[in-house]
Amino acid sequence: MTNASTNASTNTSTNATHPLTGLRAMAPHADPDWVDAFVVEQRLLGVPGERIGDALATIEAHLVATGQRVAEAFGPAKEYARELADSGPTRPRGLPTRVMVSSTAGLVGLVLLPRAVAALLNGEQVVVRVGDLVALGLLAVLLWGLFAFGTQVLRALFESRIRTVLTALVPVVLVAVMVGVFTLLRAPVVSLSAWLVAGLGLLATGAATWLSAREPIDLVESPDGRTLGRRSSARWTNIALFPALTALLCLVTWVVWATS
Amino acid sequence: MATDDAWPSDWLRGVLAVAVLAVLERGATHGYAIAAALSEAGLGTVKGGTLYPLLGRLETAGHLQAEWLPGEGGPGRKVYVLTAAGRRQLADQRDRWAEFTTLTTALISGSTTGVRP
Repeated sequence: MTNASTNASTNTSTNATHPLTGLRAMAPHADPDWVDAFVVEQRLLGVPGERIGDALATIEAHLVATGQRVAEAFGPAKEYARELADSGPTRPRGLPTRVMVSSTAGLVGLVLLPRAVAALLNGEQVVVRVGDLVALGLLAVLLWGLFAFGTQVLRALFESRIRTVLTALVPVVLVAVMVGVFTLLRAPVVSLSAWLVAGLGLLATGAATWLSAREPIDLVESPDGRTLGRRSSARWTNIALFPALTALLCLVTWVVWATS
Repeated sequence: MATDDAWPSDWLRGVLAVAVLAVLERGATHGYAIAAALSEAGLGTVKGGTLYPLLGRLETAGHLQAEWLPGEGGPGRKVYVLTAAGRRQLADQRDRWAEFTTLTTALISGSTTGVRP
């Protein structure tokens, strides 16, 4: 794919001249629901964004040339997505190891740093309680489940008729369980230096940020360089997510301390 | 020979790859033109859902290359070109297919036992 590869290599620099686009604009003659189902299935199968954009442009060109409806020409979206995925290279399915490590490190920083800030402000040590250890265990099980069965979890979520309810409900249930664990299991286990905890938290957040900065940005990209979302925004969101959340929690901790 | 009768999909599955290579031997062209040429040759309507995954497999195998030609206000059209490896594959498959059809025709028509000499 000589010229296509050349196009791809210049796409980053042409983002400024080629505006952002939406999935519907990538294949305006196709049924939007068909396009959504096709793209979700290709993503779940690990097809790179550049290939998805190429497929959408091919579908659009075919529909314009034939005047056919998308389901008539290409059949059911999911089946076509699977057939097409099998015809070319895909990424390994599931979450890459570097994403697992950076997410875990980011969460560790998110938990440790606000605790360290609270202890430092009060001039105390960080008291590790039974609830902390239980919450840590729950979090580890949850992360393992997500990493091991990430694709299946996402597929089940997308295919569920109540996905909006589930998406809203899962974080609420998770927070409620964690609050319950912290509140009910308060027996102290060990006390640690607040500076040590702060150091570990900074190290974890730093590692998460460093790994996220090296994460390749895989946007759905049309052969003419239009992308679904801005590459720079995606990169900065990746880099800033954990540091920003951690800083926000530290700020909340300080506000609570200052006003109490 | 043009026909409106659909050929059994099993038969088409076996011959479609070499037929696409044969169409591309005439010159670089885009997906819809390949489908039109196959239809014109009498193979019936080959839908996009069958054609493009096949083109993808042939591209992955190195038998053809694809490139986008610019269009007005969009990505344009994707054009497929036969590679040297594709030409070799076509030549090989063409000979073998001729032998295969001779054998099967003889077998089906009852003029042979189907055992190769």
